[in-house]
Amino acid sequence: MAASRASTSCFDAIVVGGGHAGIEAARALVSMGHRTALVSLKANTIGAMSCNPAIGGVAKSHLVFEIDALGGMMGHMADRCAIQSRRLNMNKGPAVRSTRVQCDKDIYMRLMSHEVTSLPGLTVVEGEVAELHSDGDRVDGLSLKDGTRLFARAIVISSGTFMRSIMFCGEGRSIGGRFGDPSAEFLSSSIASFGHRMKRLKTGTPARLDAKTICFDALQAQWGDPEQRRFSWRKTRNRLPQVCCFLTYTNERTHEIIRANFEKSPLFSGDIQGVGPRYCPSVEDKVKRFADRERHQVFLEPEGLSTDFVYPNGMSTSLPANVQLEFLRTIQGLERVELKRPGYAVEYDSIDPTDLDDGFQSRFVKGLFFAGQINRTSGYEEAAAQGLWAGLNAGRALKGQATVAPDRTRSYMETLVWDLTRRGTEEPYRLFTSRSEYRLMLREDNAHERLFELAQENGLLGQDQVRYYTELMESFQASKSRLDKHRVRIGPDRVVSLSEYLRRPEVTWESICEGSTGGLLHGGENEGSEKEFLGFSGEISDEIIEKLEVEVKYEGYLRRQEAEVAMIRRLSRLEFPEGFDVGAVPSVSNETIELFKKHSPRSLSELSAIPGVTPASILAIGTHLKGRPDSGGSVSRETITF
Amino acid sequence: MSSSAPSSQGPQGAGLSSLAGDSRAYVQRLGQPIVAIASGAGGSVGVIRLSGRDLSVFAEMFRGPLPGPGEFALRDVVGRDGSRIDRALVLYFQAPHSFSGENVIEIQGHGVESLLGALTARACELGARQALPGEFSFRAVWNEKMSLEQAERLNECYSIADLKAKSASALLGFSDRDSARAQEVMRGLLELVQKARGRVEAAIDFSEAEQEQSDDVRSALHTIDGVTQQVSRLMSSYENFNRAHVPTVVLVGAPNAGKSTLLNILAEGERALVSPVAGTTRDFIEARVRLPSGQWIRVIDTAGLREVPGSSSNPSGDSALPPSSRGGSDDHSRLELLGMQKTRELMQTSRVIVWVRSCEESDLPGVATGADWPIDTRERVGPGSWISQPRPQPRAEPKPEIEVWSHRDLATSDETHRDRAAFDFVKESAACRDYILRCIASALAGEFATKDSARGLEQESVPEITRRQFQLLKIANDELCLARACLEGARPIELCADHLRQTELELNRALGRGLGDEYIGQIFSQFCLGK
Repeated sequence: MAASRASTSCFDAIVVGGGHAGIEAARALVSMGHRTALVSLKANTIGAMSCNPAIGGVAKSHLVFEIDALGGMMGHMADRCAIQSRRLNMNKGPAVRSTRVQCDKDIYMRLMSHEVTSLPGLTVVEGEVAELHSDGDRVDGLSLKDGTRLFARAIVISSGTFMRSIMFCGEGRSIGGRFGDPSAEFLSSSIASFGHRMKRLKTGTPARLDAKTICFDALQAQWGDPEQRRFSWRKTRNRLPQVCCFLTYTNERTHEIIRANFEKSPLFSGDIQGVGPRYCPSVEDKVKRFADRERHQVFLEPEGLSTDFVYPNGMSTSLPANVQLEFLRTIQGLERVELKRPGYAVEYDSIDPTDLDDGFQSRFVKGLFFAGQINRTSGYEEAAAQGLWAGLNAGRALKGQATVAPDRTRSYMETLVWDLTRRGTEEPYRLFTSRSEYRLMLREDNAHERLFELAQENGLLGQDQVRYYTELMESFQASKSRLDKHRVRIGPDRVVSLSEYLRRPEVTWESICEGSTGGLLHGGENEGSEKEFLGFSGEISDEIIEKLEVEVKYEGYLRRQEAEVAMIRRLSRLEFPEGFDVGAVPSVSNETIELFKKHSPRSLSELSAIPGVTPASILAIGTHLKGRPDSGGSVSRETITF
Repeated sequence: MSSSAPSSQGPQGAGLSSLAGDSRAYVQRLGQPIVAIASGAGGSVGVIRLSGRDLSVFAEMFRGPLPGPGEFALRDVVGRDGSRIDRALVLYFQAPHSFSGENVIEIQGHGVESLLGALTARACELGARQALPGEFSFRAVWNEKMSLEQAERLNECYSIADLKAKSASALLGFSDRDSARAQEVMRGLLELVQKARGRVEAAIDFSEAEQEQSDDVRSALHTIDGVTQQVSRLMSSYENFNRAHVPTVVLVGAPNAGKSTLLNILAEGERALVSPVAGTTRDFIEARVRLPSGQWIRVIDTAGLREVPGSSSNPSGDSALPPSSRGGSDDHSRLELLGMQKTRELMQTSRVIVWVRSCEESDLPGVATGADWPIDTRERVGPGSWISQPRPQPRAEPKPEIEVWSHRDLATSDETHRDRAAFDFVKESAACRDYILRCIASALAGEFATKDSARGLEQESVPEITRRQFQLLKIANDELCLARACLEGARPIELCADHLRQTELELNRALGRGLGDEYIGQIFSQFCLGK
């Protein structure tokens, strides 16, 4: 569908920006039945992968599974465009194992653009936003630079790095949010005018190398796993051919050259004021901060099947192009490398996410939502998750429904939302598994179980997906109860259920099938498969076996986390009503009152998480809250056992 | 070990502690007038203490007006009909200048139990309530008259029967500055644990950098070892004190006789403070139990000596490993021997021995009740009476012994058990607890009276930490052992992070941060009545 031009149009919602966040926001909105416009600077770059050609990774893949469980698009698209797929952290436990796929960038963008433009109920509009309009305390639309006026009661801003963006390459600078793309110049001041606090942030991308000039023979090849793990519940019929990546290292020479050119880096010369991501530092940052490291890893990742572009992962830089070439050529395999494009840094405007409510809606003007990099995050997956969350909540707001309160115990997505809106961040935020206290509960394998209810309630899933999940969960229960019921003799006087047997650290379903449990059952004479010996004839799908092992092996730990969750839930239900005056509670220390004012917690569980708040104060405030005749509606005195 | 069913359902919810364990009881009733006998037994003066926001109504108890703030006066205390109950010295302390920080009336009458009872009853008639355990102290802490640690130390003094004067005054004189030192240490430890966890988290989240991962693990191991050492040191400062001052009762019996279950039954209130590590057994081998008189005793389950997770005798955290990776059978029997050796020592130093026997196993006469437990070397000296003669120390004094029979439900004949103290530990936990505590109390009664200077450790020791902190550190210590085992490959590394996080939680609790409401209620419910 071609981008439409109209002087005036009415929609339920408008999404500004067609990146990973905007796509998921728009999809959520249309699936909830809202007529939506997607405004993009360039309609044909919808779904562009601006930086590295990969989706997933530790913690990030968890987000992709969650997005998929909520009906999102990213997972399926990554499955379809995968040219290499790997499972990470396989030497660790199931909760932190992650999936990472490298995609053909070009196919990804083209397929995504196509999918998005054909979403029923969605109109793609090409143009730059000139101004946001509000009617009193709520937005009512926006106008484009060409004069087009769009009306809507909900607007999701997901403009990525494009607000007042400047690209730096050495001492040179140019206006634009991505190589070859313009910058959104007006949106920023329009947002600031509502009262949002802005901050300059910085991100960077490495040079792209020409595959024809790389000597791969000398390098360590890295193939993906033979079997691709899907992100999506949808099956992908045609897999793309798989490619190989290569590993090489920087060396002392590389570091010397970088060090000698520090002053040419806009990072250190002070030209870039924005704060960069701590976890994905530029190579000059790495050399400076980890001066004692002799070498850093460089992964050479092809950007697609039909391109010579190679992405040198770990080499993000904003040094001048000639310096980039110089230091890259010191690296093994890159001695004669040519650049397809130099690396550069981008500085852009972000908003303070603590100015947003739980649903990413502006605290200053109703109906205005924000998602993605503009909220001070980094990463495609983080952006997409936010887009979905903002779209979901914008959709609910349009229906007059309440914002969904983020539940840290349910998903990484909500952990991210919680961290951003309640804790805030001063530098680009990236998700890690360690961001969650409930890591063992939040896994790839159970994303659909965790989020099914939320997805269902809000109509985010198609019928097929609902049926798929329902069947999956039923068959899991059936298998589980079969394993529970099936008794096996494991010693002269020991009979246990098969699920108890599986609970042993040294036993896996795989080892049972292969008969490689070291003769645990046979007393040494180990002929044939143990599965036969156990007399368990049923076939069980890999998915189910994996999940079963997880639950069985984490069991004690999961119980402990669940107990913790129960307590937090109890305390969270004690929310402070609007205008709650902590000073009015008898016997609360002054220190607690100060801390309360500083952190403005919303519930007792948040209060108790603030360091320095005394238990006595928590008790006093909790008792006071409970004793209130009307504690804000959300608190029912009967249901709380404080 | 015996089944875990009784420990999960057991005696929880019974008695005073469940009422008092609910901190709401304390908070919601702040300000209400409470009354209790504040003086110890046996003196010629008895003291009643009343505390509350408004005590004006209690002027009615006296003939003549209440004395002014900080003053005292001799008054007749009268009943409702105006008849005199006692003539007593009445003191009035105005808030906040009192023990509890509220208005307080103290009545110093004659130290006659019935009179004191009548005075209390009179106060209750006028609207006062019998104070919950530790309620006065709770209010004092609430009103910032003393710190939680001070209150806890005060309670230790009251609860330990034969605390020597030197120790008592040292304990009471232990200033906030002193406890600040221990806090400083713990804060340091907390930082180290956080640092270790940082390294572990990095190893999890940055999966591609392999070299760095092993650096991270090594560094975390090193840090954990350092922390474990310091935690042990802090703990031993309390353990030494505890050993020296609190009478020990040891539970002895064959495996599966029900010792652990019995310990759990006796430990009742204590259990809520010790959360079980999921996936491992954390049946504690030692519990502090309060006798009906308010005195503390230590009860030790000898079974635990053979298989304790994370105990100080097993600092490497062996038991966190799956069974298959533990030592072979040689190791196992070595551990057994070690356990028996320790049991013998304990039997010698303890003040009372409780024999736990199973009705199921003992029906046949002549069969040793401790079949595979060759500790039972006693000789029968007459019908029904036993004298213990631990083999290594034939000259050891006979000491009081109590016998209790478990598994009454499994007894083959009722005849044998008619005159035995036999219980079904699961179903009759309350009765069983009651019986044993009474037996222990009477066995110790004689002991408390004699000034036996040979018993116990003589040196004065003042613990750097309180009992609550000790318990929390003990859990922290277990968690550290488990964390270490994970790093060494016994379990996946993300579980190490989980154990370290739990360690942080316990350290924070020991520092008085993030105490859940249930903890506060528990702390005060273990206080003596009237304190």
